[in-house]
Amino acid sequence: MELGLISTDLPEEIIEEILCNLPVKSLLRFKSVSKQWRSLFSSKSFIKRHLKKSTTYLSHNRLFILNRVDDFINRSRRSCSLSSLLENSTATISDRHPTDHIYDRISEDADADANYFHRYYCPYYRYPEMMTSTTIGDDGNPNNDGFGILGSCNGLTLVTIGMRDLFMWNPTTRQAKKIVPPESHCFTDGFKNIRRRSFLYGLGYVESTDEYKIVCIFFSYMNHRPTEIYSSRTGSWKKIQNFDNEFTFNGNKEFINGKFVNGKFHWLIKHNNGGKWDIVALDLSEEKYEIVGRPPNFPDRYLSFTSYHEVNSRVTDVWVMTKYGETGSWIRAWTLYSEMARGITCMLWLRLTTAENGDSIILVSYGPDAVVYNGFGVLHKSRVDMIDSSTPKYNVEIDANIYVESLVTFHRFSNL
Amino acid sequence: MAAETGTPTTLTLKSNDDELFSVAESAAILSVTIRNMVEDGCAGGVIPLDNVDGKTLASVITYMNGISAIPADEEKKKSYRDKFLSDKDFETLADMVLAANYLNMSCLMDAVSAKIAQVMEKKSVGWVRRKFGIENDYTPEEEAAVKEEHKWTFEGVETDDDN
Repeated sequence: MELGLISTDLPEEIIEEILCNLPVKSLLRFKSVSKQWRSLFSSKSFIKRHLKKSTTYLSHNRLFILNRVDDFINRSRRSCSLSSLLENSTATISDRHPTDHIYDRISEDADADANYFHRYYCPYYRYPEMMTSTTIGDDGNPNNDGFGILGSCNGLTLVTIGMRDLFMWNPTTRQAKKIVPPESHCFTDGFKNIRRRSFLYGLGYVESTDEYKIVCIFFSYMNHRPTEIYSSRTGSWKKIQNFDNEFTFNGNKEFINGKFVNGKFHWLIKHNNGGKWDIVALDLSEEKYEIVGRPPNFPDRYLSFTSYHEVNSRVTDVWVMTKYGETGSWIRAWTLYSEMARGITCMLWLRLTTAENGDSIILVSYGPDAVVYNGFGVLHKSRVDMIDSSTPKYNVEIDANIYVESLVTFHRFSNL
Repeated sequence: MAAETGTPTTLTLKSNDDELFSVAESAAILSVTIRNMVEDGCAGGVIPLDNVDGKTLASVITYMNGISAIPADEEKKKSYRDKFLSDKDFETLADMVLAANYLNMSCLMDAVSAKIAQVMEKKSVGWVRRKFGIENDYTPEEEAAVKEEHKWTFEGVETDDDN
């Protein structure tokens, strides 16, 4: 790259080193500095370097929260940085996180059936001026369009709207790309009563081939569970081996998000015969299923080292496999005592790579509050008050996601 | 070396404007550049550091002494670095990052880079161009288009304070 325009003493590699530390918002603004900077911020190597650095900043990691019961576009969708969350014992997540740019993408697919969307989506997406209007929802009529978070990786988030459409979304750069759903998903279009739990999605990254992959397992009332994988390289879905129908997923409602570690997705499963619990993994590179060792005496209602949805449980243990692949390395990191019988509706798990003591964060929600736990040994608790809810407090259900702020684009983004 | 003999060894460093500085070897070898010289036996006399001026070198030595006095406690080291850099302006930081790079001191390099980024974070495009000496090579139309594309990122920008 040409250096010609930089006249200070700072060489280009040092400038890049500095810029890697900036939040995405500043970088996007500084695209206006010069053409060279603009192309630098779009280069794959810089994006990777920046991502690596961003993960080490608590302030560049954000918690995205969606109030599922009371979901209005740009109103119940909020985010805050993990640093602000952990620095305060009580945090209010007040920043509304814009999502309307995703809705702009709904009709980008040439095959889109306008009538379908008109029927199934909230009508507001067609009228942007209404979306931003504060009058929405003032009548107290919840308007849930089925916005859901299906997975997250390297700053990209996989979301669904209306249970039909999939979007690759970078919540930081506000880019969204519509993904045509897999065949097995389309199959259910005619079933109005299809439940979200019929699908299990995940988003992961394969380092060796530098591609993002989306996994979809369809596991409703059929005897087989077709598994399909979408690759950012091919831009299409392909079927792999079925998910073993001898297993049942351990999860009782909504999506069960697999945990992506070491290039593999992991889910807690139960054997149909005998009820033994195990962890099944899907290697995204090999595109094959395998069983990963579980903790000894692993009680059935407890969490794996991943995330877990549990309802009506007062006690939940959090197990962590401290050395990947070694069954003996499981430790019980936390025991959470739910204060409300209603139980936990959402649980997230984040390993902070920077913290010396392997600090981790977990977010659980029960009833009106989200609670953040931080660290092995020391339990740090933050209450996050969900505000702006027009539904009774006990009815609040949140969906949450932790993502790192990155410049990562889904490779087949056409506008970059 | 000092640790073997039990006597603290002192090195003499010379800046490019001919200032001389004495510094304990144990602190100076935080710089991989200096450590290599010591290990190669080139540190007998005065060590010339051709790319660092006296003002910056004095500051780097303050840092070397400060950080090496802290036992292996990453948290304390981090808060020392934060404090050390807290009152430095952009120009000083730019000199420091160059020195850290030349002296091959990764911990200082990382800390100063992060600090410069922190200073830049809420600055305007014009401020960045001036401080980094970057010429605007956009046509007014092109620049307007790039800005329009990322309009929301211009919210909350600080007013330039450098005149």
